[in-house]
Amino acid sequence: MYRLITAIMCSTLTACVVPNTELRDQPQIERLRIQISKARNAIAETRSAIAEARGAPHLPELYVRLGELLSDEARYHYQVAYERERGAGKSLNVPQVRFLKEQAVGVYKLVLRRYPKTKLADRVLFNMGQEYRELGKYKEMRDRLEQLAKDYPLSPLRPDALLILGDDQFDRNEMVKAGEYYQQIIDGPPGRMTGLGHFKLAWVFVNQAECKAALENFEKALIASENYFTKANAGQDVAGTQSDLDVRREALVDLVYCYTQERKPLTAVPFLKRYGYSRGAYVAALSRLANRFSTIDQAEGAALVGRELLLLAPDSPDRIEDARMLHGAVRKTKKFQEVGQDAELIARAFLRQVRKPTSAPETREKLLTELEALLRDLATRGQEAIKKTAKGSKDRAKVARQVALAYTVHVQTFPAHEQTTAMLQNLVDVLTDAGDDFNAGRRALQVADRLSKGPSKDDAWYDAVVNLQSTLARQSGRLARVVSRAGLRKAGAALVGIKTLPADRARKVKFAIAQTDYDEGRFRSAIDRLNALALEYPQTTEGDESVHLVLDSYRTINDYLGLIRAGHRFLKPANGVSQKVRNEISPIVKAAEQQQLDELALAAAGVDGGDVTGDLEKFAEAYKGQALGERALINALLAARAAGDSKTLYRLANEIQTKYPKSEQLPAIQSTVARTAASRFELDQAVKYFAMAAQASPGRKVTLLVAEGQLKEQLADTGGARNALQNALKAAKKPAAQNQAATALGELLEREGDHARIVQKLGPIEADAGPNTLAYLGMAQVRTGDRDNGEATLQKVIDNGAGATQEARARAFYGQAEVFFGVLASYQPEDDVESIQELITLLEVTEQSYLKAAREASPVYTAAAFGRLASVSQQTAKRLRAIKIPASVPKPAAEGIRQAFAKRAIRLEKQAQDAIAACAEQAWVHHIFHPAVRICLKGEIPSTDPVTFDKLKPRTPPAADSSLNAMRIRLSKNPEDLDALRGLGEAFLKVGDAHTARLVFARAGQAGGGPLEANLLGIACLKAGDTAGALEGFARAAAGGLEAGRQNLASALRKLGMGTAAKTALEKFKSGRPGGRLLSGGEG
Amino acid sequence: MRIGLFILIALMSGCGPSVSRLSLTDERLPVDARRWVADAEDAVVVSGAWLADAMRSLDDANRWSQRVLEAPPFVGSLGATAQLHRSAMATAVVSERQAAQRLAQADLDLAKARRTLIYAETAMRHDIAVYNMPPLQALVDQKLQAVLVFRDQHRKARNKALAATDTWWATWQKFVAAKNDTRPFWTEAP
Repeated sequence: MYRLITAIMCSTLTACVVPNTELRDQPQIERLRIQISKARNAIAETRSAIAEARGAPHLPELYVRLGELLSDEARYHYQVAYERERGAGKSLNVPQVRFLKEQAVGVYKLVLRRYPKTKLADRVLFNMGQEYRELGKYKEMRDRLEQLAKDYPLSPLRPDALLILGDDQFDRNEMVKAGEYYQQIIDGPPGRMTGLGHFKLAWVFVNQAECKAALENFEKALIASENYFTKANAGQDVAGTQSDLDVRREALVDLVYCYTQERKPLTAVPFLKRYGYSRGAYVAALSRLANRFSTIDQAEGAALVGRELLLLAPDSPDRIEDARMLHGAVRKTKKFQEVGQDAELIARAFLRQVRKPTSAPETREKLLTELEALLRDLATRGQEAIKKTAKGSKDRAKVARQVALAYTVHVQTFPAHEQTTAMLQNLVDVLTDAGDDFNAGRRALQVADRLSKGPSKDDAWYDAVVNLQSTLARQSGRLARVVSRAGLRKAGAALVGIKTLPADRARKVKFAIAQTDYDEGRFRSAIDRLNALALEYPQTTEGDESVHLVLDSYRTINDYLGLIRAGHRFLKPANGVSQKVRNEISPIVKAAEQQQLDELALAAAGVDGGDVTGDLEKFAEAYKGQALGERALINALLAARAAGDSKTLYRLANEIQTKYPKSEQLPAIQSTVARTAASRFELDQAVKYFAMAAQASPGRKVTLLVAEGQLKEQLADTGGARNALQNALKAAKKPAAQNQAATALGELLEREGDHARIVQKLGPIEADAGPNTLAYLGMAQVRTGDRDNGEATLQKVIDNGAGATQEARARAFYGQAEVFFGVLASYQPEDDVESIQELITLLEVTEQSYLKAAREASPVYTAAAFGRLASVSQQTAKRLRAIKIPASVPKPAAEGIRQAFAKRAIRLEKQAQDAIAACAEQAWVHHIFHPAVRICLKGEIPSTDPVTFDKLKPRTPPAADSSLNAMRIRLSKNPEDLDALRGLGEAFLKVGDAHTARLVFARAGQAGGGPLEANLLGIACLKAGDTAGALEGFARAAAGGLEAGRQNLASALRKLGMGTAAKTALEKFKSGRPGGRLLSGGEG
Repeated sequence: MRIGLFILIALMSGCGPSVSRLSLTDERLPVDARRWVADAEDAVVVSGAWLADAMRSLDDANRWSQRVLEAPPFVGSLGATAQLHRSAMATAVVSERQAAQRLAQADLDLAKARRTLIYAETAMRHDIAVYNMPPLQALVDQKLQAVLVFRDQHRKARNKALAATDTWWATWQKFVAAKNDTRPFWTEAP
């Protein structure tokens, strides 16, 4: 039972997997059947519509649509039959097709009969023509299409109809008639069919063996199609609809035959390129052209086509043929202008095939063997061709470059081939011919590497050296230079290791190696090698050049010391360097010595401490007695000055004087040392060096002696100062110098009160004297009693106007006033009115002169003028009160005059008081405490000329104190260093040199010092005997708000017996801040 | 305790007090002060460049010296002397370059210390910050002393190198005059 059930089930299951016996059509046929069904449905629907649209205007359209649907169904039936019978190889017999097409023709006939004027008539005729053609009724077809072409010239279907008619005639070999139809298409408006018309017509001419006309029409077909498709692609409205038939490619390919018949072969490729609208079309035409040129054996053209094909055509085994063709063509034409690129193209074509994974090993081997032979053949034939060109010509170089490229392709493609070394050797020769030294050198290195020991190898090394050296000799890129140098060193090293290398070659190679170091900027190595070469091969081109390069290397690395040493080595005759080179390098070495000196000087100037002058002194020692040695010492001196090392400064100044006594720089040095000493307040040294400098420098003697004299005066050495200034006056030959000396001397002597000496010393130069000198002279003349000459001399000063200084003008007015005062004092009016009037006039002139003197703002003469104005006012007031009125004057008038004199006397007494007050005010306003002012401060009226000066106390120079050095060094670096100035001044006070301290604090005041420094200046002045300076310093300190200054001023005034002035001072200056030194020794 | 000692040692070993950098565009500073600061900063840059140059020069000298020392020996009459003098020259040149580098380094250190001091001085002068100046000044003095020492060393090394160079070339002159084989000089490994 179970077995039965199992059997049934198995049979059932088996039945499930049995294939369906119903056979289905292929999908294409299925699709066509669906189309047929659709067409039938449409036909049925159209028929219904026609039935319902009787009399409607769109009825003709429905009929035409019905005809077209019938035609469509017929086409589908045909296609079904075609698909079914495909491969059967028998003719198709499809009765439905004929039936449906005849039905369609019937419908079209009906339309034409019922609606002869329908707008669809051209379409109906065209469709009928098509149906007749497919039914094999060609006559009916021609009739209908000719009717369309004739009756409807503007129909868009006319060109299509003409094309069918033309093709019909063409198929029947009726070329003339076919041509006429095609011509009608061309003659119509330009459109989608114009190009096709030309193309068809061209073929008509081809068949008639008229290649010229055919070529013209092919070209026109290209142009017409190009125009049409360009417009179409640009979206412009063009006649007709878009055509699927693009004849450009066909025209381009088909014209090749006629082109080769009608035109020059060398123009073929450019022609095709011009019309080759796509790479595919161009390559297709080229392929046709290649075949054609092969057939007609046109080598030049074949070469061109071959290059284009190898360049542009897709990779395929056909390219091998193209490559062979190119090789053959080049070989045949013997034109090698592009042989390098040809070799590249050929190699690429072969190698692509060789590298294909699908290539069989035997094929690869065969292809490579063939390629090697082709490349070698091309390169060697090219090299032969070079020899036939003129040496040095541009053409030769051009061909050589191409041949070199061909060789390069060979050696790169076959690096291990047995012929490669030979090819490389040839390559070196060709590259040399091409003027490519760099690559020739590189290839020569390769050759040398491949060769075994022997003369050929040595030659290759040498070739490499020569070529790479040439590369470096001219301008080349950075990479080329780097590679060349490396290669050159390699070749050079190999060559110099050869014992048998000829001496001439050895020298050149060594020089080349050394030069690479120089060129690469490895100067240390370059100096070493070039130095060795210069000494090993003296008096040779390379040896001489090496000498220059050694020096140049040193100069480049700024090693002047090294340069000088090397230069002196080469300059020694024993070292064999030629006289010519020695003459050339001698100035270089001298310039380097100069430069080295400048470098040392520069370095010394920037040194912060330590042995500043050591290098320069050593240099000076090396060039002792020479100008360079002298300059080195001077630079060392300047460095010492800059560093503030006065000990070394004086030592070097003495050294220069001893070693170079005739040095033109000596006066300047001594003057510099003197000024440096003065600025560092080493005043005794300064005096000494000013005197020395004055002796050594006739040109600047007066200035230096004046400086010496003025400095000595400040140090209380009035005798020394007088001598120096008198010497200066004696030495002065020109008026300017005389005035410079005379002014300084006049000032000194006036301060000393030695007026007679002023007259004695300045009188002789009166004729050439300037206003300042004349002011001293005139004042001295007045003071010595020579009033008339004095007045005249001083009048010259006043007449000089702006040429005189304020001080000189003040002195002149004051002097004249003194003369007038003298006359006034001795004048005794007679007993008449005129005489009294003269007295009054004299008084007024005197007053005016003193007032003018006072207005010139001279620290000394303003106060003195006020004092003397007080004096003259007081004396004249007394005289006016006591004056007798002449008896001849009537009583009433006499009384009036007496009263007027009394009033005048009162005014004069008041003027005297005012003048005294103005004189005293100089102290509080301008801080001037000159003796004349001090008289006024006491409330006294000076009865005589009050112009006198405080006398400095004698100075005792202190012993050398090294503790001052630190501040002096600071001052050397910064003369405005206020802290250093203050410190130095205090140090001088401490060691008892108040005179120097006074100058230091005065300098501090100029450098921006404040009350603290002014107070210290006061103390120093007081100690040095400069009372006026002391009071001025204290007053300035007090005005600056320093209490110590205020107290010191009051204290000093009290000590001078001017208690009232001291009190006034304390009133005038407010209490100040604490700080500063007191005269008593304590802090303020 | 140990940490405190460590910090103390670290401070003493030159870490120095911290001073803030001044900006050259700080509007609180007058033009002169900015110039002063800029000069100090420039000095550091210049010293740095000098040091870089000295290092490059030392590298160059080292490479060259190595080639010289590794070259095949001179043979023939005067061969041994030539060998000796050439080695001495190479060594002396390298020593001189080393001394130059040490000097350049010391100079850079000094420039940096000065810059710090100038930052501090300028900041204090214009009421920007307050610093303890003596340690800064002491650091500058210390660096200056180092420069002076290295400068002296460099002078000595330079004189020695020049003398060794003169000696070598005198020997080479004699060596060449005696028609000895000069290939060892040229076949040194490039």
